[in-house]
Amino acid sequence: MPVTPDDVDHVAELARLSFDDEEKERLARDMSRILDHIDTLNELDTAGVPPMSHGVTRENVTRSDEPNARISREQALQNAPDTDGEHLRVPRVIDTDA
Amino acid sequence: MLHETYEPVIGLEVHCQLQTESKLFSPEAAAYGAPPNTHVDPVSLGHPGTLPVLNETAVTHTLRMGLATHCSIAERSFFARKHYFYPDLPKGYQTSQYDTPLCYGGYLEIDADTDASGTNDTDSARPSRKRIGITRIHLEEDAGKSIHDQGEAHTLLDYNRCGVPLIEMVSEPDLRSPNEAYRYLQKVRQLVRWLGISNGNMEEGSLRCDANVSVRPKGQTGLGTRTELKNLNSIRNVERALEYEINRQIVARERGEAVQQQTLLWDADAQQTRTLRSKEEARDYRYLPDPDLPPVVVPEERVEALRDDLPEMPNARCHRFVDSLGLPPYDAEVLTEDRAVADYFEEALSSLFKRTKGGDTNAQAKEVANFVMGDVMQTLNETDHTPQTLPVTPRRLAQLVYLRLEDKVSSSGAQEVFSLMLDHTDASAGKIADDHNLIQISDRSHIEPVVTSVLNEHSDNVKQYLNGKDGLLGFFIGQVMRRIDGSPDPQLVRTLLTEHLDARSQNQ
Repeated sequence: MPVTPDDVDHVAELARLSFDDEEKERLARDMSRILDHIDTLNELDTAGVPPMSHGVTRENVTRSDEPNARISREQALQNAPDTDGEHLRVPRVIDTDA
Repeated sequence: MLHETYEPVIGLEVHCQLQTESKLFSPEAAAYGAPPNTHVDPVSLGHPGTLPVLNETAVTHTLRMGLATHCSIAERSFFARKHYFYPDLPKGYQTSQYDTPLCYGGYLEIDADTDASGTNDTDSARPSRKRIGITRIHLEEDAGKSIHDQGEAHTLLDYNRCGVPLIEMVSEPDLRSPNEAYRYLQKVRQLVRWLGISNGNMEEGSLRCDANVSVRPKGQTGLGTRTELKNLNSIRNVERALEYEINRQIVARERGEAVQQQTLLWDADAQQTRTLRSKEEARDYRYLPDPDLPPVVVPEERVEALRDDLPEMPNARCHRFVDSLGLPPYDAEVLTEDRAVADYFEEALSSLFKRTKGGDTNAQAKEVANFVMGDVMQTLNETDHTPQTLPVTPRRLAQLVYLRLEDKVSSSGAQEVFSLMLDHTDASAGKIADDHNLIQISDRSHIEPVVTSVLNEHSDNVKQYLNGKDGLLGFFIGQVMRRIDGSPDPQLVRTLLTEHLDARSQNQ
């Protein structure tokens, strides 16, 4: 199944990535080969086999509702590129036509 | 009228924060109102190598809400990643549920529109009910909070809310008026509070609502193009925004313009909707099962145990108050609005029944209802007290109601005793009434001599009275009341005076 440079653009936009034309060509080729491989898998008849959502067979892994402060604000902020000491600071995000 | 030829079709999507100690997938506190970024954890901050672990209580809360709204419970469900980039979501995806919600296919009942059905009898105990379908209830995590300061070049982020458990409850498009939407939301809020799974506070954002709305000519069954309304931060705003938007769509249709499918924001200050810039058009969330979270399996036995454990629901309790206690439907409705108030009422009543040991139980229930709906609820509104912390406990209220039923205190005396009981927490109602001379003197032999001497001392007034000056009775009552220590029963004083005056008139 051939992937077009437009498909690459769409996926790149969703992933917030940008590529030059040469990279797009290469990615389109790689992605086509991946999809071809999926097509090969699709030749198998899986009617009656329930879809598998997980690679492990465990179920109901839960914890009881007990609060535990594992890190402080200082620790939380120390990896942020920018802070005001209390918040993380990022380039302005505009939501609406205000 | 244009509005009579069109019918609105409304569906609501309600998000409700669950009351848990810790977050949905990590153990930091979930409490509201802490200093920014003090309730954070490597998991909710999306650090590499961290693994989410599901909060058991959040699952139980969701299942309880599902059972309370007559939903089916998914025997096996899993979490899905909903991908989008926004700084309030550090992981780059929201952990939610997609094709396997925990609960699905239920309903809840609201009072039907009285004007629409025309069949509602205001005297009837049961207003007719309308079922609103619940498509699904699923469990997901909340995002953090973005703070956009006016004129600043950056956005600040607080991740305290990030990862707090939410249920998303999607209704069928069964609502037919803004007021039905209003009542539906009230019902949802009552239910989550009743079950103790959320505080349902819209101002704090614990309860949020988006609405899908379209209009169609009455009688048609197809659906018109719908718009989505967001930012509806109070139940009243939901109603107003829907009214505005329905009107806008009808006007557009009448002008021959097409309604565009779009997302609109409600501006509560301007009282109108405005368009949300469609930055990320054609939402492509790329849902996929979250491999870090094993499936949730809910066996039938757990469902049945949870169902058995549900409290008596507000509608059922309201009906019981009417049917077995003889309360007027209005009283029953008011008393069952809040579960803690309903509990308070029933505790007071059973404490009263222990004293009365029979008699007219309906009258006793009505008397307790009057006190709860009057003095008790007024105190709850005017103070920070809850039914659990009120110094007048149900048992103490029963003492007071008993005094009133026995005519030991007058109705105004009872109010006075109630307010004294708020401050004198260690004394019984009877002791307080006694100490403050509020016990009604209804002993004939105690009052009668005073009546005789008052009439003897005011023989001129008696003459005038007997000659037709009826207004003087009030003067005599006042004289008698003043001379007796404590609180003579005014009704008895009046009766005795009339008897004695009648006697004198015959002897004249």
